[in-house]
Amino acid sequence: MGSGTTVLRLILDSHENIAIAQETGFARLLLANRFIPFWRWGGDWYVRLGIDDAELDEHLRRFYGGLFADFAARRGASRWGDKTPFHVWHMEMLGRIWPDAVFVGITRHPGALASSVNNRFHYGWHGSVRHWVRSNFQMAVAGAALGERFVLCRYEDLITDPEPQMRDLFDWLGEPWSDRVLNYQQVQAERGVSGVVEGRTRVSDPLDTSRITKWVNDITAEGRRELRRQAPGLAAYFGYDIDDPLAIDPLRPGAGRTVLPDGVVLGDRRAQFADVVDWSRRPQPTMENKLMKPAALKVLKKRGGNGKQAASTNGSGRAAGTPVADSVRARSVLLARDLAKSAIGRLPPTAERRARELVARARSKRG
Amino acid sequence: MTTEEPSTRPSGPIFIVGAMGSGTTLLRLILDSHEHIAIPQETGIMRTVNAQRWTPFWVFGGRWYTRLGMTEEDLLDELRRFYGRIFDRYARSQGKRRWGEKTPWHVWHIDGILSLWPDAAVIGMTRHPGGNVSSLMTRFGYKLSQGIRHWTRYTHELVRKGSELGDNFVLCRYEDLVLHPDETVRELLDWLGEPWSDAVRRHHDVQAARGNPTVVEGRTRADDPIDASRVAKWVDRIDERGRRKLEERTAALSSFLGYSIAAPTEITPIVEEGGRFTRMLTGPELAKRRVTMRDVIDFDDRQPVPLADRRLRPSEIAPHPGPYRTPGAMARARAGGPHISAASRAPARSRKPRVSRHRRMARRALPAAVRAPLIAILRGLRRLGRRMAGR
Repeated sequence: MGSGTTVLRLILDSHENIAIAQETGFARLLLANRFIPFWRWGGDWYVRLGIDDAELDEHLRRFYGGLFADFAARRGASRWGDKTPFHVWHMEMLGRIWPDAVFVGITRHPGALASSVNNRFHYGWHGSVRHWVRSNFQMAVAGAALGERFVLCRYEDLITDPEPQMRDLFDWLGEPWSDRVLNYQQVQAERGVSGVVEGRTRVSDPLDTSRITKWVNDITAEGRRELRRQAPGLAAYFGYDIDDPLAIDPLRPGAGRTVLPDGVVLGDRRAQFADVVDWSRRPQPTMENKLMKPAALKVLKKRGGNGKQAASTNGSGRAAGTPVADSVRARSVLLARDLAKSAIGRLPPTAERRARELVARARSKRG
Repeated sequence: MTTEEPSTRPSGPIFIVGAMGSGTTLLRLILDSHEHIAIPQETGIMRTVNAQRWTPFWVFGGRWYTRLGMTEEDLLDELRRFYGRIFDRYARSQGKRRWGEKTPWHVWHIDGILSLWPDAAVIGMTRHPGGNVSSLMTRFGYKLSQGIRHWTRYTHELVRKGSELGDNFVLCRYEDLVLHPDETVRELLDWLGEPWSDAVRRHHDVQAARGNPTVVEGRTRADDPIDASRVAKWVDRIDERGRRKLEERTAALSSFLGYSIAAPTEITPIVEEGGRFTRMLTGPELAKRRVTMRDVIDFDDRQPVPLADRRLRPSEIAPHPGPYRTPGAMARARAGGPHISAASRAPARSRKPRVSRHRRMARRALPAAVRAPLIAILRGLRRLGRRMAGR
């Protein structure tokens, strides 16, 4: 999110042969087909119908591929695409179901992304930087696994020098060059797409180089701190300097910034940064992007209020002076439990095991 | 007013729904033995269909198909074709021409079923609460009160929805099926528009001869013949106190269905005489009974729909790590068998996210007045710790 996926979509979508709709998130629909949500026996429903894994993939490929192909055909395009930021967690599955699919990743300076995410969503600085690290880590790993089927663009390169980048990208995609892609605002406007599309992107905004440096003024001291704490290693891997938005290293040494690196290059590059990035600590997908297995995942009813309210810690809630006595007591228990849990988590392994046994015994005594 | 001539026979796929332990599997095995009908083991497909209506847990998931230029009707058409074809292929692979599906908790998806297949034949099973609850207790390890709650919720919803479906629905009682199998199955087949077949009477032989698994879903043995003694077996299993509890909590719904807790073997007929069927209640007849018995029991209130069977809207429900604590899973945990939570612990999660998750939970649980200073204190402590570690 916030790395310029929407701009890249608008550009690709302006090409005569390509149709990419607004975000659909359909990989989660595929997940629901793999595993009947939250049902203990949901894993092999298709086996009971005499269908094996490969056949199910084939069914899914034909069905969802058909929906997108129809969309492209109505548009007069021959090739369909999808753009959804959280599909970074599903690249492996999508690549398996569509063996001929190719993947275009886009990354952006962590400071710019965190600033953009922090502005538009309610992630906070910690969460915004964490979002960058997790998504890009996952993209680097999954992209490398896809090898020649993956190519990486950088938002900054795209903005400063679009044409050679785009020429290289369309060449890689095997599509002829079209001048329409650089005039994507006009193309989209002719289609009746104007104003704000997904992620609050304005279609009419030109590719503006000021977007590269703007975050330096927006970021707070806390944001800087989070950046330096979480992101420097991975940022360096993607050729960024954590403090200087304009110091951007080429990802393909010698080839310049217009030649896009593919998954093979990215895979090779990992070794160079092994001392600043721990590649073995691959992030877990967020809960929303996991198979809905009841053994590991359940659903809870949201208690009143939406995310926005929960995220704002200061302000009106505090001034209201509501009587809190009872709820404070109940919730303090929760807090105490939380503190105990985190304390236990920090103990050395043997002590941790012993502590957990004690907790379990106390709990079973309570009934 | 006396007899409704069947305006339309539901000629589409067959869906068997009802509380767990109400005999849905027995009915599946019987119908599956018919030469024209193929009903596989539970697939639970409607939850997946439901998930297609809203990209799970995504704020913008509600109208994803409109971005591909489809309307809701288009989506339903596509889904009908896609899932219908999968089941069709299964039926054809069995040499049958009509498919069916049986999953108890599809009770919560009756609307979804009808919106995809307007010609679906929905068969609702009910069973005496004593027998049903006792079955849940022995097979799934439910406690008495859990079993009663399950039966009440499912059966209430079944009657409520079924009475609105008209010709697409019949209500079939387990006791009728077990005590008068020939008559009941004959009527069912008649309603479904299928000819009588002797194979259904010998379903246990047919299933065994096909080489299907002998123990199927819900621990039902596929090669068991129908056993009439099952109807009253529960009387020995539930003690006097339990029976009082049953009476207290299920009396109204039981009497609506012609059951009596005090006299378990007295199954009162609920079908008015002179109708087309004697052993099962069609949708319109059920609707009529719902009206006439309004002062005994009111079906207008809806039982709470399980969260997993609702649209997966992130504004209302959120995914959460940890195993589902269903009565069955809890019973397995008590029994110390291979229960669910052990499996969920298997993939070792790194320590850090676990701690931050608890912190996040606690943060959310606290009132703002306490939260802010506490967070400040914790943050200070962390900073102090880091500084000390640095020196």
